Amino acid sequence: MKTLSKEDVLRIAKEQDVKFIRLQFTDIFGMLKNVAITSEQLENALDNKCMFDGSSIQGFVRIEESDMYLRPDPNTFAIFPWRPQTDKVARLICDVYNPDGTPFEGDPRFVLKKALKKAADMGYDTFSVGPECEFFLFLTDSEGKPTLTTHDSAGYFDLAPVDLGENARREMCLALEEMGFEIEASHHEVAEGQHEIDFKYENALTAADNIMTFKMVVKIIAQRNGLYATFMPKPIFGINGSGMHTNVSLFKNGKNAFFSENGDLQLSDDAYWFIGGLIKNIRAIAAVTNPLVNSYKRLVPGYEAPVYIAWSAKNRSSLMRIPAARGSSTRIELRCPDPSCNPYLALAAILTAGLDGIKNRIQPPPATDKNIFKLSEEQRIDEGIDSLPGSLKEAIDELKRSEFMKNVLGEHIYRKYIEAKEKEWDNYRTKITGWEIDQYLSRY
Amino acid sequence: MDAATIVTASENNALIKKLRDVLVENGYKILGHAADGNDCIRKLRSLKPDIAVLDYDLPPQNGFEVAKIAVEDKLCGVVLLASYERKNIIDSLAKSYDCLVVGRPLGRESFVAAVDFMVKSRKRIIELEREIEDLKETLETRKEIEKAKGLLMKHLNISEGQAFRMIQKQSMDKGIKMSEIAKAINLAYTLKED
Repeated sequence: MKTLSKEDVLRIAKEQDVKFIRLQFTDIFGMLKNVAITSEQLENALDNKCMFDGSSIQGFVRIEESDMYLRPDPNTFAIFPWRPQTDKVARLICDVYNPDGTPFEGDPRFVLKKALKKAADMGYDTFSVGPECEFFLFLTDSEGKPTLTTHDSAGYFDLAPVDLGENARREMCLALEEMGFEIEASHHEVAEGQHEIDFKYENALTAADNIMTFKMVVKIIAQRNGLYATFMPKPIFGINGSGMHTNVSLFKNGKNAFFSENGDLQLSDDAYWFIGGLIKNIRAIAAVTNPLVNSYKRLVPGYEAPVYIAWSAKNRSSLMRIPAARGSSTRIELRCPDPSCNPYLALAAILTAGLDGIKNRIQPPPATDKNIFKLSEEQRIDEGIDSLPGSLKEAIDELKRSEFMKNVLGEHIYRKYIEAKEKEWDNYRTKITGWEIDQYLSRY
Repeated sequence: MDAATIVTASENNALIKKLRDVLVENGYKILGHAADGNDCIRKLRSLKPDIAVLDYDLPPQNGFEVAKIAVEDKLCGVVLLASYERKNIIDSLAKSYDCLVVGRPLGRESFVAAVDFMVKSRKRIIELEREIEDLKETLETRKEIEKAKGLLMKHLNISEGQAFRMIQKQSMDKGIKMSEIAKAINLAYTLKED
């Protein structure tokens, strides 16, 4: 990871002739927000003197306590690689602070930092995260609105039809690399118009920053290609949705804590307990890793998305998979998160659940190496395999019951999040959908 | 010489018909036509024309926004058609963009002249860019080789000619570019010195 000082940032901005700087932060629903400043104001901003009105951000604060401060993290300085001809634009990711100098508890980045602190206190110096983000590229219509038409009909790993999407994806990779990403893989996904770009694992804070940057870059480059990129979890019925499989591992004194030469499957107790903690808390975590009404239309059988709460070292259909790599690459792949989630909150919840497992030595159930989708309901109950929430409503109810999640998110976000998600559910519940019209209008 | 290729974009069908007739008469090849900005960007990227003739009125963005992307991403040369009032504004915005703004209503002669000019300058720009790339590479190669020569001379106590010959021979024997051999030598000595 880069380490830049305030002086470095000022110097680079000057050398590269940067004219505008975007001070970015993320609201609790995972939306990237930014305050644009000119290069003349950069030094002021780096001295943490940049203020904004927090009440304008959904889920932040009430109008009477609205002054908030942005504290840019110099390590996140990056120049946008597009628009090379006009004035250059750079960005800095910021932490949000109260006027009294304390961190704002509604800042998702702070929530993740808190979780990382907890891990550090338990002796785990690094929580490594490697995300695999999927997204769809759609054509836009003459009004610039996204349609559900994909421009290609290639399948998984197809090489042949070099299409618009393919080119757009290549440009996305190039732009990301220019912003310091290490791209591990980039390919066409199973569904039409669906793509995946994987970037190198990083410590959780950088990984979450990267996910936010990634989503922004993908959307901008898509637009510059006359396409629309969406991270909506399930845009089209009948084909695979977009997930964000999340590979995680813990390190203690620079060593992978999930690896044990002599452990069962060469996994350490820490690894098993981490899985145990995740399994125990996953139903409440789902409201954060799968935050939309639409998220739960992805988590259905038949489309490679997980439905049942189980783990396996072999079976790719399970919620948690242990990829074959061992040694320092030993990791757990959690397959439920989707790219619409707030990565800071999602990673904080995943990490804390794992730590909870380690602290309380929670043994996971035995691995399920069968294809769970082929088991009957009785067999599943016999084996004690529970399922993920079936709807946002179910997930919110779990979240509301979870003291654990209240601790992870902090009182402020916990309350605001539930409030907003209940509203979202209620809004959805009372709407008359196209399906209902199709099914009922002419029949009754 | 092959006919230069063109993609046109406008939502004004009458205008476009006229433009295309003029272009074809003057020996240009029309690759395609787009009726909106996004469709236009997609066509520029997939058909790779030499020139785009864009109408400023091109929803949902406008012709200038499309022109910016075309120029920034080096997709093609751009001739932008705009009313005279608008032309003045765009000209001041477009200072750093090599796109040509032509005022409407346009005369046949001046339109063809503008397109001809753009085609020529586009060819010239591509040539120059290629030359710059070549020069950059030559410079880079020379730097690496100079450095490698210096290291070899110092560590093996040989003459400059011998050092150069050594690199050259390695390159020929192994079928690897001299610059790559030089890079490897430099890296090896850096590691040794660390």
